[in-house]
Amino acid sequence: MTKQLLKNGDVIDLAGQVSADSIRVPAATPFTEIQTGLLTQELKQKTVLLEFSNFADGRGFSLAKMLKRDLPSSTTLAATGAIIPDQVALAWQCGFDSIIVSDELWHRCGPDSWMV
Amino acid sequence: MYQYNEVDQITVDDRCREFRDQVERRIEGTLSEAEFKPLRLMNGLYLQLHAYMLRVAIPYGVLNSIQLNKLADISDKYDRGYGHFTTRQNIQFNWPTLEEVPDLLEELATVQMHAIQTSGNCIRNITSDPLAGVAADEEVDPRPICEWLRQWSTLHPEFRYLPRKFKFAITGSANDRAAIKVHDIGLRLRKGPNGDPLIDLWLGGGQGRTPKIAQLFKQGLTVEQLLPYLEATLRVYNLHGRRDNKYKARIKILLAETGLEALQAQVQEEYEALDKSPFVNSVAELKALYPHFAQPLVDVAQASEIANVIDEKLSGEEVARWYKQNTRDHKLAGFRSVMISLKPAGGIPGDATSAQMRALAAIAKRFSRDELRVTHRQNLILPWVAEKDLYAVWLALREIDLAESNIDLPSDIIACPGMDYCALATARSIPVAQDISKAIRKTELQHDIGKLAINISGCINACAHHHVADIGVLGLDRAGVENYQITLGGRSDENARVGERMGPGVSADELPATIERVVKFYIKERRDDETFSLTYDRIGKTEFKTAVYGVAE
Amino acid sequence: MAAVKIKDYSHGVMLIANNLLSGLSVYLNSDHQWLLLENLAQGKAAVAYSEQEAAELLASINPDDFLCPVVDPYIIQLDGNGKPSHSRELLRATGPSIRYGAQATQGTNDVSI
Ligand code: SF4
Repeated sequence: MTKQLLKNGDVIDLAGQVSADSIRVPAATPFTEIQTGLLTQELKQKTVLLEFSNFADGRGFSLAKMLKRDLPSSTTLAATGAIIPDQVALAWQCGFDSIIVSDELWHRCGPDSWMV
Repeated sequence: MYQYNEVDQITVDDRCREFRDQVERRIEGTLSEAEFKPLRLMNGLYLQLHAYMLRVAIPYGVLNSIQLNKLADISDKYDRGYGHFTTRQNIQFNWPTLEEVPDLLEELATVQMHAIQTSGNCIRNITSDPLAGVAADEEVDPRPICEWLRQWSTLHPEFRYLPRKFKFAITGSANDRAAIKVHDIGLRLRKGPNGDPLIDLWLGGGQGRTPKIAQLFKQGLTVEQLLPYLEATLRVYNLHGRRDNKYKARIKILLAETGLEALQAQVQEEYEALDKSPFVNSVAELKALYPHFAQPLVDVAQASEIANVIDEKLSGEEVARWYKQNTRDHKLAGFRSVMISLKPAGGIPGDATSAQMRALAAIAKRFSRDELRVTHRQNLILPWVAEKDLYAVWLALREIDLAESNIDLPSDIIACPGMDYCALATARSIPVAQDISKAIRKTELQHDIGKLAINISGCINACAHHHVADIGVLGLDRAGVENYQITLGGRSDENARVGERMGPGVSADELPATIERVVKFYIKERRDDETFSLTYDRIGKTEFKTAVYGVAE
Repeated sequence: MAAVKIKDYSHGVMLIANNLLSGLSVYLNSDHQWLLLENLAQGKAAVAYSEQEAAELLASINPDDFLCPVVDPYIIQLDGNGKPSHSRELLRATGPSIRYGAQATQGTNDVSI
């Protein structure tokens, strides 16, 4: 089961799909493209999933900071994809509201290591 | 100097605990080497040719005696009795074991030191003018800004996974001793209207495979603007720096590919858009740092009484030479900065034994307000020596073989560890530095030659700054044989420029004679006290090239 | 680190690595033990004479096992005297070619490889 980490330390089991009104954006997408895309239509989405392709690629952290200033406060910004436990604290500091961790990653790194 | 506050100490202590846990998990086998490697690198721990190597940060090169004593203890307890000072004003230990590194880091933390961000694609240890706060020609003391930026960049959540490493250098003097133009960002501090400095930002300098001199990117930033502007710059780099090729990932390439104006516009746009609220207290925080670097009060009467005393004692030939070559004018009347050469005959550039470290700590405590500096030329400085104490300091340094009067002279060679230690090396640099030094000492001309920088790197990464030396040497591997390529006419000061490459490389055996020929050619051709680079410009590459290969003689 | 491409198996190849705990350079001996590379002259390395044998030698130590006692193992070529044929590995086997620490400035630096 996929896990969703929240800033307050809670972990939620997500069965299957995250939520229907979410949009998945690769963290390699240029900011202006995301911005236009979100402004034109998907701003109504409840969740924006920023997908990290590789844990050594830190673009998602900068994008989060930039997106947070455009997104309405009702929108949740979530990090997903290649995130490692050592990055959880960074994600919170850069403005992510939640982190979605695949089952495989969750177990490989050990559930304890995700609790920062 | 700066003393940690509670937050600094907690940060460093937490990091020690975290790394101890990571090491334990690695040894138990719950972490793979692939997972562990980036974690150990983030804590300054490399795996080199013969052993692990730990790089310890010395922020902007400032050390006190307690710290140096601790480094001495560490080199005895966890290493083989010595340490190596680097061109990044850091210190490296060459033989620690993985099991003991957590203990070592814990000991370091007790003296407010760590190895965080000495490796990895993050903002690295900030370097500065080694004479910061004491140089006679200084306009603005860069140390408070250095400390401010150290705090800003340490564990910055957004910039831990940049496209590549990122290096800052800062100077507050027109005479650039920090080589700011060969750093990703170089800051030049100038006097501003109301006591606060104005800052010129130079961007995109760098060495390695594609050496570049920085361009003036933004002039006259105020202290209010500096942090948000840096944040905007780093953010643009984080998003747009290349990640497909590590040789093209530094900001110098982004600048070259985007163009100066376009990149300035991108940064400006982000600067205007970014949220300034996190920075509302930052200037107050900067101002709170000033007292840490306040000018000490000096007894004027005592300072002026000295002149007579010293003249006599310092008149001996040896000590007079040392005074001229190894001490520098000071901001305060009655004081001088004493440069300590870590390039004694036959020594290893930048190395100091634990016994030397302890003795230096004692000298610093007694004669230099408990402070030392590390220079990017791999030497040390006692920044606060009263003129009346100079003779005693010279005697004490001579006791530990560190009174060699060769600062800035040809035998003051920068050499990276090269293939004797470094896993990335393509050739050795230490033994060739020793051979060149020996050849130059033999000529006994050193003091007549005057200032001349010879820098030797053991691979294209250019840790020894060979591109910006008068005479640069790059060690390469040609079918299993060491081969050394020569570059002439580089400079790392305010008129920084990349040297020109001569023809094919020479063998290790030929190298000392080759360098000797170039030096002799320079002395023959120079007018009065013309510097090497000016002579090179006037005479030209072709002639110097002839000297390199010795055809003309 | 980057292994040198093996061009010649006629004098055999051996396996070197760094010990995980100490970091020191080690080699695999004929009894399948990891010994300090600096003592190579006194020991007997496990030697392979073909690409196939070399691959088997590397596989035999389970390099991907999290509990493997060494890191960065790789195959190196030997010369006719059973020593590493490339200067880099020879330097790994002999240690730094300079005097260091308290010995650095004592006497001349005539150590060579
Ligand atoms: S220049 Fe090359 S050999 Fe020298 S220390 Fe840097 S990476 Fe190592």
